[in-house]
Amino acid sequence: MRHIRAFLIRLAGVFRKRDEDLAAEMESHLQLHIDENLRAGMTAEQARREAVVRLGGVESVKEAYRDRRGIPFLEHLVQDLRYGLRQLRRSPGFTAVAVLSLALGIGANTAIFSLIDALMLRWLPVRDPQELVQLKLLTGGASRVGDSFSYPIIRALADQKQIFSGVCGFSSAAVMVGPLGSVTQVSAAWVTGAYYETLGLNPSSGRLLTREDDQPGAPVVTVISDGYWERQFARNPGAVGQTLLIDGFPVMIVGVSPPGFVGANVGSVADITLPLAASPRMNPESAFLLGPGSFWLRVLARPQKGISVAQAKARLAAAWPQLSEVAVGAGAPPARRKAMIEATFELVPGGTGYAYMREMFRKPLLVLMALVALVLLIACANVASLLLARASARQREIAVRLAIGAGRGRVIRQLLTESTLLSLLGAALGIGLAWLVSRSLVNLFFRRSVLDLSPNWHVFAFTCAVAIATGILFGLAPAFQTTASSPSPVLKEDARMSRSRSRLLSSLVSAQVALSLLLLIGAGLFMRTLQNLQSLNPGFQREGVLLVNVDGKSEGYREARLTAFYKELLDQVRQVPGVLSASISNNTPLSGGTWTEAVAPKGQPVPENDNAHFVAVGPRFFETMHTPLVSGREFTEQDEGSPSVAVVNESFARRYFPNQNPVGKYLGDGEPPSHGF
Amino acid sequence: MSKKADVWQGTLSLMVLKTLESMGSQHGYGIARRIEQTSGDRLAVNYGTLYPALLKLEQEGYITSEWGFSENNRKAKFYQLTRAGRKHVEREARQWSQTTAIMDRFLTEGGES
Repeated sequence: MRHIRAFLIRLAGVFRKRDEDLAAEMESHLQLHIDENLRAGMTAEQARREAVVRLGGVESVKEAYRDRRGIPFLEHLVQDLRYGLRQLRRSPGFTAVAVLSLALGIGANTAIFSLIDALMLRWLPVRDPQELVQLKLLTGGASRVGDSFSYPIIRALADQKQIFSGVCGFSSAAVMVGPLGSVTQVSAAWVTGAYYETLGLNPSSGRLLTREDDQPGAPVVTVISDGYWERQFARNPGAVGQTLLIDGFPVMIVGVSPPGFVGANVGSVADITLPLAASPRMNPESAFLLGPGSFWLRVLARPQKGISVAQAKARLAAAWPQLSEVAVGAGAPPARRKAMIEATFELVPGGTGYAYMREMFRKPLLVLMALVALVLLIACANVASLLLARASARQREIAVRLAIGAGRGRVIRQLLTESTLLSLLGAALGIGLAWLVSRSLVNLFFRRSVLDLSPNWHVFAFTCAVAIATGILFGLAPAFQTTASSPSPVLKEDARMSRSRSRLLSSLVSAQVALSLLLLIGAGLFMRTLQNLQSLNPGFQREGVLLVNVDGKSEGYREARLTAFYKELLDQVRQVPGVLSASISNNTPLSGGTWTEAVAPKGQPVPENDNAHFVAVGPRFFETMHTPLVSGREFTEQDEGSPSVAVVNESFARRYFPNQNPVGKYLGDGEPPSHGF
Repeated sequence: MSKKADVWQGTLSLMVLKTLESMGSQHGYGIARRIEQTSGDRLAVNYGTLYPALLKLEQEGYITSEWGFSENNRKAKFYQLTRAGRKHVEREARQWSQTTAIMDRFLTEGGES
């Protein structure tokens, strides 16, 4: 307690100077001593002399007193900072250039780091995230690693209480919310009943989903995110109990998930969370998703207390042969059954949630991180050479300070304070820059912000550490250089730059040029690739094609009415003046979306694990896209209904119809004759 | 002039506190003189170290200070023991005498063997 009290008083003493007080006390001390000496019979001269001698050096007493009054380390720091700021203000040009180049370097690092942090490092806002594991399925003798599981497997795993205290599956989705005519698309998640229980979350309002909600006959209910509650219901507690029309099906809101939690799938915000058992009730066509053949759910599990990940893995391996019987389903072909029984599990840390983007962007982000580190190094070299140039101008000042007794360490400390000050200023500017850059990077990649990039203490600490390390890195060499030479020659004549300094300067410059060249070549290659990609022939004419996304299903059209709706829409579009042709497809070129299915020419065996990509298109699709056909004909209105027709691409034709004309040939069971490619 | 011992590090505070305990309110010079007199002029207080030591004790809350006038009407800063200071003196004095007693035993035993 005493120490804390004394420390606080000393802390206050750093900023409150009271030198007069001590001076007055010393003066009174002298007077008292002189008085006594006079009483003892000395002459006035003697009395004064003796008192002064006994008191000793007044300045050293003052110094000891000052050190005790404040905290010397802090006091020097404040002094150095003040002096440093004055120095920087005196040369605004230098300061601006240095701070700007550091801001670029540090800002770029912060931007990339905040992406890495958001994608890879941040824990999910759940209870004890470090305990969670993500399950992976290894099949084909561990040659294939999958993140996806089927609903029956997850239910079977959830019963393994001797291994896991909780197992949950989830997948992101998009749902249409609202009455016909005014639907909005909302990001959602399908989850198993143990989802919230496994993650260990408590509701903001109402209740969260439970295992009872994930039973076949259970009423269809949903939990909304805290953000959705705020945006749509202005945090009205009455929202719980209200009914939302989701994909045209009335669903009751039973609760609100805690703030900050937007699903275990990092990168896709889930505003609406639905139990999987509700899926077939809302849309009977989707019943197959709950079947044993649909592997589409990610799994997070929490091992029982006291069970290590290795133990959990071993127990899971022991329990699996029995479980797999339930999980595979009776109708599975024998080969598939065998593959599933032989499957093994891998348990990886799952506390940061699942992110498909993590797999995708891990390497690019690490490469970017290395690149921006290089940029920072260049900035450091840049500022260091600026500092060196400035040091020669300040050499006299420093020589004077050394000559009148400042220790070399003290002067170096002062110079390092100045450089750290520079880098901290750069960091402050850089954080602002980073915020803009990382946001626009994410928008560039994903078209909308899906990652939470608001500044947090992780990123802040990283930036501070980078800034301080940077300050020391670029300040150290110039500081040592400047204080190395003995002060006398510098004071005697005008300072010339010593040889060693110019050597340092030139090596700094060469390092800078080398690093810049490295970056420049990298950037050049990157630009070239980008150019190539842009001039790449995508197989259709990119100019003059417009795209409209329409979802007739969400507007309530089904089956025949849906087809009629699309047909009528196409007719109307074709009548718009200026439209040469129009067509329709379920996936557009380059969107990356297709469906896959195994297929082979009639009479040939259908290959296993080797699917072809399919796209469904309407009449005059190739005409609209300006894709030339090598042979055969385009789809027309007459192709609707039977017989089924298809257009294959050149690779498919080369593979399945070598040296033949595929036009007129049949695929699969003989149904669709192929028509041009 | 006879050689006087310097005051050991750490013992000065206790001497200051003990002096204030017996004399009540006193200024820095008075405290120093009193310590020297009590030691039978065998100790020389370094006046330079006295004032930082007084500041430390004040920061720790064992003493307080205020400006006043000496008997011959000189302006001086007077120090006084606080209640916490009084307790502290007691505790420190007890510890100190224990330490010296132990040291004493060691030294006398060492002398005998």
